[in-house]
Amino acid sequence: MGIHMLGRMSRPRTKVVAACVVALAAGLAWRVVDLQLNHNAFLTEEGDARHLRIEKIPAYRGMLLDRNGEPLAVSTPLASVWVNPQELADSRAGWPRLEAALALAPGAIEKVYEERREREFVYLRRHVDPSTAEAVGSLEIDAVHLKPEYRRYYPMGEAASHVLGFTGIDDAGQEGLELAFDDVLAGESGARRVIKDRLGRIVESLDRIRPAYPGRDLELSIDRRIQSLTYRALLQGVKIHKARAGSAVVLDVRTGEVLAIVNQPSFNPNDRGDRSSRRFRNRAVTDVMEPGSTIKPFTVAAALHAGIVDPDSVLDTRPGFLRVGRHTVWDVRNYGVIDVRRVIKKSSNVGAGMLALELPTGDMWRMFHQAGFGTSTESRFPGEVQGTLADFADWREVHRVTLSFGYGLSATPLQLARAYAAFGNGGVLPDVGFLKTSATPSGTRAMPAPVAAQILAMLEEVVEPGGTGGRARVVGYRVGGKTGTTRKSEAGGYSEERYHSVFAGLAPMSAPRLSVVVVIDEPGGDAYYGGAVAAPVFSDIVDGSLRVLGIAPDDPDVIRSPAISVAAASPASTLERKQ
Amino acid sequence: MTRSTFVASVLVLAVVASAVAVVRTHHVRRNLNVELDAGDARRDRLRVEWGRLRIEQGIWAASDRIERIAAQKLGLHLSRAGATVLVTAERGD
Repeated sequence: MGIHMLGRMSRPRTKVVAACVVALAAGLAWRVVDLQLNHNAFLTEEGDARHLRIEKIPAYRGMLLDRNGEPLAVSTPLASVWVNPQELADSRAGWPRLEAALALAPGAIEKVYEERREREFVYLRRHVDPSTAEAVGSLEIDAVHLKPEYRRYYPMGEAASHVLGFTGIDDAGQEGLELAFDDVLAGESGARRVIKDRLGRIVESLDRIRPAYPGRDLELSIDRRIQSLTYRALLQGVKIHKARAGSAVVLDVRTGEVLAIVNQPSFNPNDRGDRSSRRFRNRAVTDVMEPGSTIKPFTVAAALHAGIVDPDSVLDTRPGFLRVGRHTVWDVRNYGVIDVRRVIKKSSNVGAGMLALELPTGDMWRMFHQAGFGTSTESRFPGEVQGTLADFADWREVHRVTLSFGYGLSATPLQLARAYAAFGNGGVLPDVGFLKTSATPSGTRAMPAPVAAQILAMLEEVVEPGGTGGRARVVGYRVGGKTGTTRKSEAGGYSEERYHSVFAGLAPMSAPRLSVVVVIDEPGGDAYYGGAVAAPVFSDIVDGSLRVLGIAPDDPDVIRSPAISVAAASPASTLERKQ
Repeated sequence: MTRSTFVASVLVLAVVASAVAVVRTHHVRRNLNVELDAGDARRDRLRVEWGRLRIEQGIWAASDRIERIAAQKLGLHLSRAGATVLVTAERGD
């Protein structure tokens, strides 16, 4: 039919029409070529700028676990609600419902719209729980978007807040172990290229520029059960004695692992409102105190090591005070002629001072130094301080005497616990750490094993009748330790009424496993002696911890001698007996 | 058909075939990418759930709770002083 029609048309007209068609086609073809070849780069760029976005792929933050794999800090999903104010006007009708869903004040969105109309991204509310996020999503307001985020949840709450620390709003470690191991926990966020539509929704994910590497879970040295019972024991001690603050540390004697570390006052890490920096400090690591009488075992150890005395050597502490230059050192009362063991048991300042005066100056310094005083524990805990121990070249006679009963040097409770661990570890000062370790315990020798054993025996006498630490006793177990009551230093000297009450000790004494230090800061009641205030807390902690660890009682008075001895039960022999 | 037209048409066909292959590969890559994203999302979801379950387990297995149940429901208590007999196991026989 076309041919027929063509035939009827005049030839010139056909030519004109054909020429027009060809010209149009050529024009279009040229335009295509022009766009493709000459403006391609420019146009691609413009298009990409409108739709192509580089998006962060968040890396999941690793969990903090206790030594038995129990979770201590876990990231949970939340959403943050944001709006594009430029699009808000279209959905004015939905504002009140949105405000209600987010628990915002009426008119809050109006304000955002008025004040930040020029912006494209404004948070309405960060970190809403998943159910709220769902409610917001179901409103289907185009300008409102949800951004998935994570938030840390700490199941132990206040009981472990100082040691774990916390993360900031962007899930990065800010305090404590969250900060110390942030690089391991945080992982590495990745980036991907995506195409977004006008409303900011992802239409298509194109490719990955960088893959995200999730953070690793970390197994800490902390034992959740011990941590929580230590927290309760310290809290009770601080409350009963109306103290200003307190700290407690539980160390594994052989491995130097920190099993528990707690402080008062504490804070709830799950509640961001409950955060004032005064409460954040992990005092057991960041605050120093003068160790007071708890240093005396090291003075005695130095004397034993130097060979100037043995445990039965006799010292004449009469008349109950010691004059050194213009200063006088007092005992609580006149202990008379006592042996070296009783210097520890009765906590005689005069006895310790006499030993210090007889010792070559460098010997005492060396013992203190090797026991870790004045040197960092290298635990990697953020903000850890190392205390002070002056060089012995500066020690005058009076300085030596005051040092012998724990004034003039300072240490953290963690340092003190580590130093005591050396007594229980055959004289070896263990390297402390906050990570669970399966490696061979490492440490440095602080004193010969026989000296450590002699001191252990003396520490056990402290909790026996007539000693200063009777209230540290634990039913079923042999324990030992040393009390300390130090006046807090203040401007112009030492306070008359503000004390640190301290107890440092070990358990069980037959084969020490735990080194525990309890410090109660400024007990406000009538009692302030370490033996009355800190020792009962020590007892509670040790009692619970040994039970949790399943350590067999070793107190011969409590255990009836075994009437029977059972052969190690192999499945076969059990079966035989049953039959 | 001369030799040169034959070569030209083979080349044209090859160009078309490679263009189709490029498009196909692009498509496959996108599909795989979508799968990867879905896999990642699933991994993150499972990890979050794992954490939640661990917390739940921790709550149920809290030593306080077990102690309370042992004392109240089962009437258990710590052995009193003097009531403990230490049984030592001897290895092998």
